[in-house]
Amino acid sequence: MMTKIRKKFDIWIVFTVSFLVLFALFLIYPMLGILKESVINRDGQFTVSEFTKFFSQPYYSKTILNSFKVSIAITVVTLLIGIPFSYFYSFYRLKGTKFLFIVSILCCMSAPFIGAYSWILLLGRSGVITQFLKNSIGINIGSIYGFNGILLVQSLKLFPLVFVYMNGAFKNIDNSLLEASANLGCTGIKRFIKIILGLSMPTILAASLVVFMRAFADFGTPLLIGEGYRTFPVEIYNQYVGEGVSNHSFAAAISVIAICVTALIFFIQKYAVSKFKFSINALHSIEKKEPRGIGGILMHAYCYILVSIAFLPQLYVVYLSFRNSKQAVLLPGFSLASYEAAANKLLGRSIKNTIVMGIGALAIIIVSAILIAYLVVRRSSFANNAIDTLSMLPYIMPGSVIGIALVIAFGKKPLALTGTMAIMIVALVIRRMPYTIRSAIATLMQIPQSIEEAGISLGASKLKTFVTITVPMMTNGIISGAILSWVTIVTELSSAIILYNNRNITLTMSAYVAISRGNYGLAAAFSSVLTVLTIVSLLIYLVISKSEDIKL
Amino acid sequence: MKKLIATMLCLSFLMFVGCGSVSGPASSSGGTAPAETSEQSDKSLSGPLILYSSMTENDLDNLLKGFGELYPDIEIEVVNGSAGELTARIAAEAGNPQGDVMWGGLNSGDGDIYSDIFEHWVTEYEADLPDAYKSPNGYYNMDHLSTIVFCVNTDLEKELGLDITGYSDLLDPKLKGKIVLSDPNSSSAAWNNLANIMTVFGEDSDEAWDYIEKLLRNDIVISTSSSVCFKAVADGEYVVGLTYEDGASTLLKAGATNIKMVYPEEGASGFAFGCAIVKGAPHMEAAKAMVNYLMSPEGQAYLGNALGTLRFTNPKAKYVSPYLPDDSEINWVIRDNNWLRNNKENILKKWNELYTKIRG
Repeated sequence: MMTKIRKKFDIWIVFTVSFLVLFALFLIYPMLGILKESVINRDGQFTVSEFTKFFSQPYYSKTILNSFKVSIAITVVTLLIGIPFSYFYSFYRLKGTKFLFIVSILCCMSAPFIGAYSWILLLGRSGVITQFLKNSIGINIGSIYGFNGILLVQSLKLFPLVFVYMNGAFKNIDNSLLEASANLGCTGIKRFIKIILGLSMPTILAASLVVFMRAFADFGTPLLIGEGYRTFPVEIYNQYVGEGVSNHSFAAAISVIAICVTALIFFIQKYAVSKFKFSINALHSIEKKEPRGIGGILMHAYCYILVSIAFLPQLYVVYLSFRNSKQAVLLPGFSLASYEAAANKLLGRSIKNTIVMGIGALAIIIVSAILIAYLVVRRSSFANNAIDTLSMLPYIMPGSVIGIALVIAFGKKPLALTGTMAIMIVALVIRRMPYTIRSAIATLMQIPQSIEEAGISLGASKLKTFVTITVPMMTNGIISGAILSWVTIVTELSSAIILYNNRNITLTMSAYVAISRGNYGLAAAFSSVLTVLTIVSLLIYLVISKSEDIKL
Repeated sequence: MKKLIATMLCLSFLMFVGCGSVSGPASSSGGTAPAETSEQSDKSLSGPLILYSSMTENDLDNLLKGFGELYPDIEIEVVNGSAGELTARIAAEAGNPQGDVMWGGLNSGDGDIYSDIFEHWVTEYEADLPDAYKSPNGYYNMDHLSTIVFCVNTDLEKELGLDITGYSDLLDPKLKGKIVLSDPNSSSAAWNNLANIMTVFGEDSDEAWDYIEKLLRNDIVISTSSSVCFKAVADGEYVVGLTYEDGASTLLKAGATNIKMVYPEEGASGFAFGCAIVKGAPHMEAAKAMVNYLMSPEGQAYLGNALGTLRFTNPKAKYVSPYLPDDSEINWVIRDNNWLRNNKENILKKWNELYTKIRG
């Protein structure tokens, strides 16, 4: 008994306290700051006028509705194009499956604005394809700005999420169920809808909610291609950078509303998932069929055309980066001039910052995730459960809200961190940590505690057991997750746009600045470097993990 | 593996501890020192200077060149962004200032809203300026003028069979959806255009709002960036952009042959735009040298000749601007800066309400 009490004062208590302090400082304090900013006016009095302004002026309240509309449309379209893709991929022996898989993942992981930027150059009012169609066959394809543009860009970027989720579901369908339904006379399309989709319902739901959340919080796409179609994350940013100091309160108020809305969606998601929770495990998994005849050709055509269209923006940007250009004008011929211009515009520093901050953030995330997972799973207590709950908070905070919250919290002395690398790293850690913690907890739960007990009973200390036994067993799951975190970290835009300056600028931000200044060649060069960086990272991931399962 | 984890642990702690020191200002030089009467070209000045600017690349390249001739040892780094972005950044960094000077975007229609993020300091050249261009608040130094223009794509204009000379032409149904303006809530160029409409049609008058409503009903496009309003016109995305002289004429200078600038026949006017020193700028001496240069007759004459696209405020500066029409060719109207400053919020609110009513 005595020893047990003494053991409680071990190193883990220190970790618990440290995490609580860090969360209080970097999560709770900024959140309270944003709340305070939204309800306290410049004279220090309490007011809800910013909230009344939002809800009473349709100019602003409309943005929520717009975001909902476009996100629902994106969800429907991604399901419509993603499910057939996954069905062909899972049920038939298509040629080049590996290629299809890798390219669709690459589409999904590209930087948030490259798609929008590239589609504007292709299909905008003076886009290459627009001009071609207009001059050669006299077809006017209309505007791709606004609702349609966001829908196009986001659907092509997010359908791989549906694809990956559905692949998992289809893999778990038992062949005998399909045979049984065939024996009962249910075949073809009818069987696909009634049996196959029915069995995958929980996954379809999970996938659509993930897509919806991503589309809803997306900032880069509507910023570039939204034009008059005003969405909620962009409005937060516009209010923040709008002229006039008092607007900060309004930006804070919209942020608070944003957090409430996303929290609501989050809980609906939890509820819906729990309603549909049934699990199936295939004893006899589906045997892939040989695609034959016209059907086979059509299937291949569908998959390859879809993936090519989705990947086109990234290829086009790389192509552009080698074209000669002057400001906004493309000139004939090819050269490395755009890369030279980029080198003069902080390319080196951008790459260095991206890598240094990315690795720094990743190291913090991995170490914290392992420690927090251990605290939550093996040391369940009130304080540790609080850590668990707190770590989920960033799930419901859109990136621009995190950016503004950090600026409000750390713009003043004694903790003046704005404009530094530190604040950027804090933002990256906050943005990504919840995902890594979830996967670390899931991994640790599968490791039986008896292994650790064996270590301890053989005389090792708890810390030693943790470091030499538990952590190595968790490593595989964590490392593969980490590479995906890395990609989202280097392509982070929505919080970085508020926190960057010339010292802590990243590749993503350099690319964004060039795009917003209308400097095509430069923008293409930065975007290409970014694209190459994400592609290389993902290929490393695929080689290391050797798996076709990917957790996004 | 043990080593890997240990290294990562160390690394993560180093990041936490180390990053704080990356950014500390080199020294707390300057503070709020009184304006000194430093003469031109104090070549001993050296070190970095961080310039926050919303000006075009053409403007910045030439400023760096001209300033660099006088101060070869000052290394300038430019942070680009819209006026709103940059002031938001300066306000955010107030506890730990990162920038030294802001150039562009600060206009005479702003009033005092930025007084807490800039140094209360004007140059000795303030006495040279005509009253209209004197600092409205003692924080800004007004160095150049920004007159509103229509940037018109001449190929598309001809295709549509139009001859655009003023505001009334913009209501032609042929231009439905083909006129672009940036968002007056966030862009000073758009606010500049709105202010001109107010001045031409009558401040807050029914005529002015009636005109704006018709413009919105003609599906005028509201873009997020002010540079779209001239660049995208040259690209052929739009026929007309409501923009400002410097932006449009810079394209003419770059060799664009498919655009022209139209000063509305009903009347044209502009805001004076300025530069200011960031409060507590880390490189105060260099910052003052930069603002002095921008306000001096020598600096303005150099930039005026080198750019050819910008009108400056100091009457002593002599230069020629081959890309701008002569004063006499423009129907100038005088705007009431005081009225605009005091009514900006109200006008933007009405604009937003009208926009919502029409666009839904």
